[in-house]
Amino acid sequence: MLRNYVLTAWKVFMRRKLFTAISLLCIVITLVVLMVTAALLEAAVHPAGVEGRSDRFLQVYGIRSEGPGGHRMTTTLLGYKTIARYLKPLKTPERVAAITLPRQVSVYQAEHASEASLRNVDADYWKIMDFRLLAGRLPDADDDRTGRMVCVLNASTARRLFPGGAPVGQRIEVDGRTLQVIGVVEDAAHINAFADVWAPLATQPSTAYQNELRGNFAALLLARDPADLPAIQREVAHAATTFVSEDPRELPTTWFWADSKLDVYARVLLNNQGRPDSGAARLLALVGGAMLLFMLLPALNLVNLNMGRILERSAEIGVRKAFGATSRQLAAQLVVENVLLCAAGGLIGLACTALVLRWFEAAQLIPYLQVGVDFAVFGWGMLFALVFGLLSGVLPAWAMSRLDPVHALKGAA
Amino acid sequence: MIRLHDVSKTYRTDKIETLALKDIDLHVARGEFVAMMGPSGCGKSTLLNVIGLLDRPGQGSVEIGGKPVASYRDRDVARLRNRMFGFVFQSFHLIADLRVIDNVELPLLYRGGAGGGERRRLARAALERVGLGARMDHYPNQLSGGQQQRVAIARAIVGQPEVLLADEPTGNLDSRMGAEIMDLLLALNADGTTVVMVTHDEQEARRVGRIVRLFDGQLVEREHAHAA
Amino acid sequence: MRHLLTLTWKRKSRNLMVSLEILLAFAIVFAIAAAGLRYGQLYRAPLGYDGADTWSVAVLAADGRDEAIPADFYDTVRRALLELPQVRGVAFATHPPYQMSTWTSTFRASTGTPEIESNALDASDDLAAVLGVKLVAGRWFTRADEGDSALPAVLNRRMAEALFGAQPALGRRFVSTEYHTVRTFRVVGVIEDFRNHGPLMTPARFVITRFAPAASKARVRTILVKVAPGTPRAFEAALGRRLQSVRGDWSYQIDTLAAMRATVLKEQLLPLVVGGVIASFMLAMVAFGLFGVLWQRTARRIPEIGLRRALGASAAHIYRQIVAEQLLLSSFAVLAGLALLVQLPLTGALGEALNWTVFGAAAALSMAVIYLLSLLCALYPAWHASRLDPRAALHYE
Repeated sequence: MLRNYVLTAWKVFMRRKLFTAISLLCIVITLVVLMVTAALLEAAVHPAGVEGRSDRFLQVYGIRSEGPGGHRMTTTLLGYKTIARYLKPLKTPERVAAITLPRQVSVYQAEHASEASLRNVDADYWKIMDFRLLAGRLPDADDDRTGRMVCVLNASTARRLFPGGAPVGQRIEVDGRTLQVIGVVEDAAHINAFADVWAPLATQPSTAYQNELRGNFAALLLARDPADLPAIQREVAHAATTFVSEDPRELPTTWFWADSKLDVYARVLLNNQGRPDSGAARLLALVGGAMLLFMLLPALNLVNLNMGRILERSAEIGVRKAFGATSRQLAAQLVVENVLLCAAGGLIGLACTALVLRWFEAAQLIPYLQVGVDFAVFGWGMLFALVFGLLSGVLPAWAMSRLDPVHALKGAA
Repeated sequence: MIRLHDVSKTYRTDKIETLALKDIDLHVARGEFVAMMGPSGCGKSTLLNVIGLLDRPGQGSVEIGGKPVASYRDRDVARLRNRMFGFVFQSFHLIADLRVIDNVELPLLYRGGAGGGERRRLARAALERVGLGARMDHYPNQLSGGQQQRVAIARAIVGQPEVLLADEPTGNLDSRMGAEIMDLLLALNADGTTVVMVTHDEQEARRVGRIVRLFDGQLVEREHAHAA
Repeated sequence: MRHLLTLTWKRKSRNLMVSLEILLAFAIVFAIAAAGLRYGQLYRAPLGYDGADTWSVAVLAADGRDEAIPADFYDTVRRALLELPQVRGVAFATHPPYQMSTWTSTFRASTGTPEIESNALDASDDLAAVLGVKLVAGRWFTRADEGDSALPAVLNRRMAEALFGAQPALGRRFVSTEYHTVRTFRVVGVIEDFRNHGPLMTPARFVITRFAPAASKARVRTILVKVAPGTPRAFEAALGRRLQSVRGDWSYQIDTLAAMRATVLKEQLLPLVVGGVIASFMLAMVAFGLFGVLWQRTARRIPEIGLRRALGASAAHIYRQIVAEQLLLSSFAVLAGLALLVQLPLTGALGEALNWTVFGAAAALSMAVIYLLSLLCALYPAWHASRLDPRAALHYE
């Protein structure tokens, strides 16, 4: 029976090639938008490459303290002292790295001044991230201990600052300090990795950061095993309860959480720093709802096109009914037709998505972004196609099955 | 085998009510060949549709094979239609982008049970019966009017239904082709199929066992024609 | 015309779906148009400052505490910078323009009157000159204000109205009661507005208070440097070195206001641009779909068209009829859409962002787009229908 549905569907498509083309175009446009969004979200939440160990590490991206009664409130990033005192000593993580968020600095080289984004990171960072080393070496614990003035560049910045090549060993001036380039790594756009220049913590203009409970740091905690992650979360949440703020009377309660990437985004977007539940589920529901809403107009478009097709085929439908087709079978016929078209649209859409993403990379809308179409995106694409096919097929299918065969047959007679 | 009691049917469109059928009492026995006649708009097609369960009466009861169908759900009605009845329409209603053999197979698709090979065999047999075995792989628009109607008849009999319902089957054909179709229908009736046919043509009607006349939705007279 | 109306009404269930689609498309175009027009409106509103040839230096002192910066730092830095030939003026502020930081505080006209929240900024005496701030009443801060028990403040019009109503604000006092201390302020000047986030910022209340390192513990960390026109970006190196000579243990982040403005505008306009691109794709899709539906309809109505022609309708008549039907359908959808959308400014759901000017202009623009779209989609099917041979049409199978 399914085979017959498919064959009939094919015949219907070929009968009116113009409408098939228009419907297909409509489907492709919709699915491409959805798939590009899904690809970008996937890259943000489940990155591969540099942050490939994401399933094994968590990040702490905020500290919030509240006064009694919720009057006074401060939400900032961590200070180094907080990381050193409360996070580094934790038992469960294998490693804890302290990193700053990237900031714009001026890089001076002899005659030339340019801009770059700089991160200060400690040696543990390089063990948690999975950068591909293109030249030289990465900073290690020894560099941290001796406070060497070194830095690492990413490939694009190395090319930009040293067009002649051989950046390793050269010197640049940043923040009033001279740093020696010891390594070059690949470009990366991920949330913890994005930067042009990386330098150890000691290269910061002053040592005051060591005494700050709040600053512009984040912490990465690497687990020995992905199964340890909940234990780490509990330990970090507990550490927050032992936190002593700079003004324990004014700000007695403090929270910070070890989060997965999705949780980090959820907390920021939903302004949800005070509860253990980051609201990730709500964020996903909102995103899903937005996508469904987005599908509404295209689905309506397709419904209208389908309705027209049904009216055209009313005689055929009448005949099928006369010879014993049930409403359900007729409805199934239309749904199969629709889902097939959407699946075809999905495959074409995947190809187009790949092109669009490649254009994104080339246009550098988000610097160093590398997003491709992988299995996850393919899966999402097919899911969207299925949902879209059902959404736009159900109403016409229902209408088709309710068609009065008497009128249908008389109408075309 | 087909019994209609006090059947009435009203069509309502916006503000106009049309009484299409009024107090129809009809009994068609197995093996009969009934011709339904009457002027245009008198409701004969509607009556055919009610018999064939394509339409439900507003009032009255319909019994098929002794069983009342009023309480049947859509699924049961469809199944009954599939097994009991075969339809032949004035404008053939063949599906243009299916081949002749696929058109004939159509009722078997909705029957279930028979596999692809079996369906093909039955369809071929039906086409042979109507004399078009050689045209299996043609498309409907490659056939003449008479040939198309014969394909439609093959489609109607492929499932070996008990009753053939024909709504002005020769209406779109010239007299020679029309006569051929009548011959075919009579032959099928002789083999045991009950036939209920709507027609305009007095000549055709006289070749048939029984004539039922309608006027303004009501039965006027019943007469038995002389045997041809 | 009435004939058309009855026809359309009869087919209302089929028309409903198409109308719904046009309605949604109208809503989407309206949203984009309204956002764009609102941004346009905001862009044209007075900014309150000039910011040309001005650089911003963020002082990244090691310590977050106010005590980390000595009171004499500011005079030292000013003198040091003014020695550079390119520098025309030096001012200090808590945060520079074109930066998305907001500092709010609560004030009241006097104890007993309701609290009013407002944006706030501390600025030095030179800020007006450096940033090009024009006053509509009174004056900016001067050295003569030093030592006044009531801190001098400059308000924007909105804040002046909020605090003092219709009465002139100059010379009046108001207070702030944050952090358990009552501070008194005195209005010395009024400006039109000060939209520190940039030209797309929604106008808000603003209070600018005088920065006096000698008098209080307050410390600001932004230096605004006005340079000679045409100063190249390479000047940054010289500027950096001069700053280092004052305090070498701190770090300085130097930017031009022009660059910061470009960044802020880019960030704020990005969602609109992305939305606009997606909306255009959606519109293209709706156009194709509408074309398809119209084409199908016309094909189905060929016998009817043949009949009309046989009864004497000319080709042009048929053409006009089909186009008119489509425009009528679109009108239903657009009117329904307007009826829904007008609730937004009526209920004030989106506040000032959707004021009547924006609403009217966006509605007009969207209607124009939708009608144009409907017209384009109807043209070819209508032309094709009017070209039909009546005899062939009547016999259409």
